[in-house]
Amino acid sequence: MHMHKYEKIWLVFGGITLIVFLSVIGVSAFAMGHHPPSDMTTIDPEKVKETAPFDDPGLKKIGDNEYEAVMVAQAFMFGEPLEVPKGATVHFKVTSADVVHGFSIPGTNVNMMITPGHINTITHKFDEAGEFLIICNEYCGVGHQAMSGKIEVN
Amino acid sequence: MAKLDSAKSFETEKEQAGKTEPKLNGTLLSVMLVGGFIILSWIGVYALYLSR
Repeated sequence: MHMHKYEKIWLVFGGITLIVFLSVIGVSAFAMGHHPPSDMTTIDPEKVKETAPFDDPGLKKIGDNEYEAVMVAQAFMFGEPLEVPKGATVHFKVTSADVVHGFSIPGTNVNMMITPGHINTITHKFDEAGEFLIICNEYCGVGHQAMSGKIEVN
Repeated sequence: MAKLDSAKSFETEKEQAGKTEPKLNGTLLSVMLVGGFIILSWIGVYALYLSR
């Protein structure tokens, strides 16, 4: 098959670009542990309040400046405001007691869909002090626009 | 012999026609510009992801 010289150039260029992109994503997924926030951990959505750890939601210290934030998203709140020291690593563990909600902290990579029946986890290190907002970014009902939470980083 | 000659000359013409390549300078430039844009956007998004 005859191919123009330029055609070979851009095909090789495109192929290499694709390989580089996929390798970077592969390395960050398998070597650095980056993964989507939702996994296959499930929970009975009707028994959220009786199921551990969601029977006792809130912030728990699990290590040196490391916390686990167990939260139940439900129309139209995320629970009590959280307070963590600067530099804290927070492992969010969130599920929904009713419908699909969003869980997003603007300015960070925390952004996940909270699906009833599933437990969603994401980890974030709060390097800067300030007040962070948790917002629901999935339309969940008439009070959706008022659904927010707060994280105070001191 | 005359027949062979004409066949030979016909083939040579065909070969020559195939060798005249279209000018693709503009196409190469456009492809590289689009490629560059994709690479820059990809790097931008990935850097944003890593930095936050």
